[in-house]
Amino acid sequence: MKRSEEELEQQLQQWYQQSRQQNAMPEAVKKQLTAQIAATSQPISGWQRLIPWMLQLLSWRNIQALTAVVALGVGWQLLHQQHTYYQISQTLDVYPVQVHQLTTQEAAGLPTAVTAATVQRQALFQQKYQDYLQASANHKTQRQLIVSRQFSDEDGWHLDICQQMQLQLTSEWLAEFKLQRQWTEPQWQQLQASEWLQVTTGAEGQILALQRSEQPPNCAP
Amino acid sequence: MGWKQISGRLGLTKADSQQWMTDYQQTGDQVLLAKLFTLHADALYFFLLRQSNAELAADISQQSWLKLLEQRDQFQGGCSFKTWLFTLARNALLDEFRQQQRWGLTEITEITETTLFPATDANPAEQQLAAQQQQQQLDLAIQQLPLLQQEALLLQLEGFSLAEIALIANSNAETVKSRLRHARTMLASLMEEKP
Repeated sequence: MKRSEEELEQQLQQWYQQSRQQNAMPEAVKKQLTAQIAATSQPISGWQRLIPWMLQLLSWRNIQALTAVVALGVGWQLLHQQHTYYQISQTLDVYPVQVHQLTTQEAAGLPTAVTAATVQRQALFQQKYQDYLQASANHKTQRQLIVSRQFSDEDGWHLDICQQMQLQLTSEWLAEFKLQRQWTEPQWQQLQASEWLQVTTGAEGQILALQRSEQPPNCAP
Repeated sequence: MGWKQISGRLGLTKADSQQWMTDYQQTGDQVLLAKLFTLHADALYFFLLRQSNAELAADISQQSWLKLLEQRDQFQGGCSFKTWLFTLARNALLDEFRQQQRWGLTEITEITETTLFPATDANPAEQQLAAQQQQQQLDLAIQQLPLLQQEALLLQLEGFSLAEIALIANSNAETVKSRLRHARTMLASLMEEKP
């Protein structure tokens, strides 16, 4: 660890200890809370027994909201990879995090054996892929937005939309996108180095194009 | 035994929390709950305060402890008690943000460029003043971090491991590691020494 890093670490520890000490829970709040907790933790009877159950329902809803993956578009088959699909999933965190990734047939929950359902689903994906191609050419369904690069790492690109949404483009997805769009290495490196990007999306939120942007995102106050 | 009496004279260690919670689940003994509250209330309040305000931090603290009471049977011991408590609190805070449609759009505060690590030939009074300024600067710089990075940093400084932070933040250890790395890079950049 470099000296400056060590010093920053030391500063951080010091800041945390001091700041936490200076910002302890106010005594009045603490007293009120302890009294409330003590009262609530008394044994309960009758209809009051229903309260924990009702609260559990609420918490279940919370858990669902946090962990459920909302599929925006199931996916569509890519040109070169018969068993790989472009999948968009969205999870709710501090703000929504939308992940664009490639997923295999198995990971997408598709049966590997050729059954009627498989064939039907393959047809659906073929259709989705046709829609994807069409959307790429149809400017009416396209939407453009400027995003900032939060950081890039081995997992892919982490992009931010005005601190209201995060986009994650996985490295596998990027590799396939680069291949499909026939980016040359210098062009790709320029894109990779760009702090702001213009993202063009189709009707289902699928990314159709990525370009460098000279302008930062226009975030409303 | 009253709550006031308990809080003042407990010899508290983190390692005991798990056992206290398990015992509380079995016995419903309020003394155990009081011990847990005394040990963790301030840390939780500070975590919430840094990401909201005094009123909301108190409110979410209250919600979290009440939730803990209601859901005490759900604690399986798969993670530490503190991790569980912070996860409950974070979920409650997110719910509140969603209701208020607050997504962490914090105003960016301009940071005055000053030296992070000043020369050491200043007199003690000057050194103390410089140290205070650094703390204030660091405080402002931390406020400027993106919320998820700030959250990961606060949790790490509180002593949580990568795996525990990932659990609390509903993420994975690699992403948390990236958030922490980028938080430090951004802090270093914000606090960079003047040429």
